[in-house]
Amino acid sequence: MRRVLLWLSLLVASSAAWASSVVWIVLSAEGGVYAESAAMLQGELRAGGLTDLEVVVGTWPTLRALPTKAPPSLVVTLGQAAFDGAAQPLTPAGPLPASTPLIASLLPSASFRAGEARLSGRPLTAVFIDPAPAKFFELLRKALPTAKRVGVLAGPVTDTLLPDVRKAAAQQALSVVAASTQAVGGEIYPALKLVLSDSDVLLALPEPSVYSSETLPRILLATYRARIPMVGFAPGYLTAGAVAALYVTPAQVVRETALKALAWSRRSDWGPARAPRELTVGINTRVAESLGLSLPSAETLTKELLASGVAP
Amino acid sequence: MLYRYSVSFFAAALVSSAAVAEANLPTENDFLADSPVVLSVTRLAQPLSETPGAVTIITREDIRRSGARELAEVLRLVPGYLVGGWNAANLSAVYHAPLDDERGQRTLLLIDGRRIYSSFLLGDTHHGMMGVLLDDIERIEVLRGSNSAAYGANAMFGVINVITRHSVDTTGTTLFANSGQNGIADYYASWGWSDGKTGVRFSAGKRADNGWRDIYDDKNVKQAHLRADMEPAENQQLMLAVDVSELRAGEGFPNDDTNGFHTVSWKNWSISGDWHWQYAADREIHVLVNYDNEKITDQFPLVPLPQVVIDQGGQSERWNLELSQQAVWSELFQGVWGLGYLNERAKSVPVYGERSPVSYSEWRLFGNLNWAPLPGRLNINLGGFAGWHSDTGSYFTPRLMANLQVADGHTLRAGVSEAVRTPTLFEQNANMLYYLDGELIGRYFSQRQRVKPERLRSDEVGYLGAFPAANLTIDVRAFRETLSDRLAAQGWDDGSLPLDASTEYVTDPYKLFLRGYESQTRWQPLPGTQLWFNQMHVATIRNDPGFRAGNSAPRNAMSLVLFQELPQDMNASLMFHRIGQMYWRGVKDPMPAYDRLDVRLAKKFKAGTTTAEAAVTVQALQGDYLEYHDHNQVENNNPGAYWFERRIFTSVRFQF
Repeated sequence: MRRVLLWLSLLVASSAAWASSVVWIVLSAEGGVYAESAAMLQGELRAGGLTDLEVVVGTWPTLRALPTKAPPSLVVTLGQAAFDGAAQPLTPAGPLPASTPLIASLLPSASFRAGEARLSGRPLTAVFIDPAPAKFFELLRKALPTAKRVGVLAGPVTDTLLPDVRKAAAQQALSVVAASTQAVGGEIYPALKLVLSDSDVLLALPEPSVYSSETLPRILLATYRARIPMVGFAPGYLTAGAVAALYVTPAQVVRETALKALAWSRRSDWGPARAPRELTVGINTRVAESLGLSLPSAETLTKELLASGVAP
Repeated sequence: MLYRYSVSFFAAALVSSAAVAEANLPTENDFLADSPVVLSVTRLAQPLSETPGAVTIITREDIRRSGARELAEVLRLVPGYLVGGWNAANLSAVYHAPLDDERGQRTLLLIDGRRIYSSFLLGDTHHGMMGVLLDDIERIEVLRGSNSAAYGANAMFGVINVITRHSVDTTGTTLFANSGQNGIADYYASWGWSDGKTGVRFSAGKRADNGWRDIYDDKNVKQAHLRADMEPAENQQLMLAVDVSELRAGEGFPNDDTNGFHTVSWKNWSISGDWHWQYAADREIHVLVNYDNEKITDQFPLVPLPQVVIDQGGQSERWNLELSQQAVWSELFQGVWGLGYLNERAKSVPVYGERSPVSYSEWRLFGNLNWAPLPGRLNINLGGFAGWHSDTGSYFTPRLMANLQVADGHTLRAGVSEAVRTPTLFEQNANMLYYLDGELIGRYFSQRQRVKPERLRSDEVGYLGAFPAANLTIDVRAFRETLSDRLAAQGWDDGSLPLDASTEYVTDPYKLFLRGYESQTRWQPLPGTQLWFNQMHVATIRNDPGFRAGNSAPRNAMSLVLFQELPQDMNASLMFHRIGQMYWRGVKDPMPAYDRLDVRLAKKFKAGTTTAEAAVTVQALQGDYLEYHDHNQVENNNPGAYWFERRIFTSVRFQF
C-alpha cells in the first residue's frame, strides 16, 4: 500500500516537475567522451520531441556551484564518478532530493550494483557500458563453436558474479573454468596457469585487479603461447590481440539513455537497469588466422546477436 | 515493475557492496581506454595457409596423450616420418628417407632456435633428440620438406622446431614418473618461479629402459635444464638456457669385430642466449648465441686382436651466432633477413689421427621475402640462404613457393627449392687407425679425399583444406625430390697395411629419386573425440643400372590415432601404425611390414591448485614386432633379429 502511494506521489511529482523541465547531465570529467556523449544526448532528446527542455551540463563541482535553483526534474549521470557523486551532498542543505529520478549511464554494471544502495528510495535506472554475460556466451557459441570450456580469470569483483556467469554459460551449453586470484594469494599468473590448462578460450570480464594496461600484454602473450584465443569486452582488447570483442559504444549507450529519458517524459515505464539493445562485435582476423581459427565476420555476428532473443 | 526490481537489487547490492567495498571496481575507462598492439605481426605465427611448405603441429597435450617417452617417439605422429634405428638406444626419426645409415643428419632439429646435432660424428640428431624432456615442451612444429632456404645446410628434409615452455608459464612444481616392464624407469621433476615478467625454471630427468629383445641396447639418459626469461627493457625479451645431458647406451654384439659389445657414453652441455627486441611496431631484431660441447666415450677391443682397441670417442664444440631482422615493410611485403656465423671443432686422436683437431667455420647470409600481391588470396615466398664454408666453399639454396587460396579455407601450394648438406667433420676428416705395439697396422675408417656437399632439388605441390562445419582439416604434400652427390660409405683397401679394408665417404655418382605424397587428416567429429589419419607413399629409386627395386625405405606407411575424452576426467588414446616393408643393408635384410598399436588410458585428479594424472600405457599391444635385422650378426652366432617387445608401463604426474 505504501509502495503504491509512493509511486503515485512520484507520478504527481514528476508530472508537476515536467512543467518546468530541467535535466541535469552530469559529467564525470570535463571534455572527452563525457562532453561528446552529453551533446549527443541532448540531440537525441530534442529529436525525440523534448524541444522545450532546459539542459544543464557539467560535473558535480560545477553543478553545486550553481546559484540556487529548483531541483532538476531528471538527472543523468555519465560515468562512474558522476554516479558516485550523486550520493554526495549537493548543497549545504543536503543531497539531491529523494524524489529526483536518476539515470546512471555509461558505467559498468558491477559499479552500479555496488553503489545503488546509496541512492535507494528514488526512481533509479541505469544504462550499462557492458553487455550481460549471456551475450558473451552467445558470441562464443556463434564465433567459436568448438570451444566448450570457457576460462575466466576472476578476482574480487567477478568472484561475486560467477554464479550468474556459470548460469549464462550453461544456457549456451558451455562450461566455465574459473580460477580466482583470491584463491592464490592475489597472484595472477598461478590462477592463469590453472585456467589455461583446461580452457578452449579465455573470456576477459571486467576485473581491474586482473586486467590492467600493465597486465593485459602479459596475459595476452601467455594465452597466445598456449594457443588459446581471448575474447574481450572492449575495442582496446581487439587492438591488443584478442580474437574477438563484444562491446557497446558510447553512442549506443547514449541512444538507450535517451530512450529511457523519453519514456520517463511520457510517464511510461523506463525499464530496468540494462545494457543497450545495440551492441558491437569486433574480430581480429590476423590473430584468428594465426591461431588457425576461421570466424564469421563481425557484421554477421553483430546481426545474429542483435536478432537473437537473448537479453543484453 | 520498477520498484520491485530496485528492492531486489537493493538486497543484492547490500551483500555485494559489502563484499566489494574494498575491491577495485571497474569504471568506464576499462572499456574506453586505448590499448597498444600486443600480438603484432612479428609476434604472431604465420597462418598455415601462408607457410612456404607443409607444417605439422604437435601440442603439449598431444605429446602427453601419445604415451611417448622421448622426442623420436613423438615424431611417429608426423606423416612421412619413420622411427627406428639399429638399436633402441639409437632411435632416429627420419623423414621419408632410408633409415639405413640415417641418423637424422638430413633434418634440422631446433630446440628454442638452437641447432641440435652432433658436431663430432655424423651430424646426427638422434642423440640431441634425447636431450629434451617431453614435459618441458610447449609445442613441436615440423616443417615437412626442404627448408634450406630459411635454415641453411642440414635442413634438407625439413626442420623439427621444438619450442619449450616459457618459464613464466611453468611456475610451481611438477613431478612425474613412468615405471613398468622392459626396465622402464623414467623420472622428471621441475620447479619454476615467476613474477609475471621474469621467470626461471629448473627441470631434471632420467629415462631408462632395456631396449629390444636379445640385444644390448639398454639406455640411461640423465639431463638437467635451466631456463630463464626476462625483459631487460621495454619490448625486449631475453631467454637464457643451460642444458646438460648424459646418455649411456648399450652398443654392439658379442663376437662382432666391427662393433663389439660395449657401452657408449655421450655427455653434452650447452649454453644459449636468445634476445628479441621489438624496436618498432612491426620490426624486430633477434640475436641468438649458442655454445655446445659434447664428449663421447665409445671404445671396444677388436675381437681377433684384443690388444687393439677401437676407439670412436672424442670431443667437439660448436659456436653458433645469428643476427636477424624481421619486418613488415608494407601491406604487401614482409620478411626476415639475417647473418650467421658457425664454428665447429672436433678433437680426437683415435678418430682423426694426426689430423686432430679438425674444424671448419661458415659465414651465412639469408633472407626470406613474403609478397602478397593479393593479400589473403595469393602469397609468394622467395627465400635464399648463402653459406661460405671454409672447407667446401660457398653454396646458395633458393626457394620459390606460392600459396593460393582458391576458396575460403582451401589453399593450394606449389614450389621449388634447393637444399644442401655440407659434409660433417667426420665425413671430411675421418682417420681411424689401428696400432699394435706402436705400429700402424690398419685403417678402420680413413678419408682419403675431400668430399663435397650433398644437394637436393625438391619440387612440391600441396593442398591445405579446412572444413569448419565438419571440424576437419586436410593437408596433402606431393613431392619429387632428387638427392645428388649423396655421401655414402664405401670400402677401400690399397693393400698397404696388414689389416684389411678401410672405409671412406665418397660421393655417390648416382642420384636418389624420391617421389611420393603424404597426407594428414584431422577430424573432430564430436567435442571429446579427435581422429588423425596420416599416410605416406614414397618410391625411392637410385639410377644405378644394377639397382634392384627393393625399398630401403618403406614404400607406404600409415597411422591412425584416436584421442577420446571419457567421463570421470578420463581420456583414452589409441595409436595404430602400419609400416611397410623395408630393407636394411641391401636385400639380404628384409624387414616385413609391421603393425604397432599403442594404447593409453589416463585419469586426471584435481584438489584445489594441485592437479594429478595417473595413466597406463601399452606399447605394441598387438604383439612384438621386428625392428631391426642384421644378417652379419648371424655369422657371429648372434640372433640377427631384434624385436620390439610389447611393454606396459604406468605413469603418475603431480603438479602443484
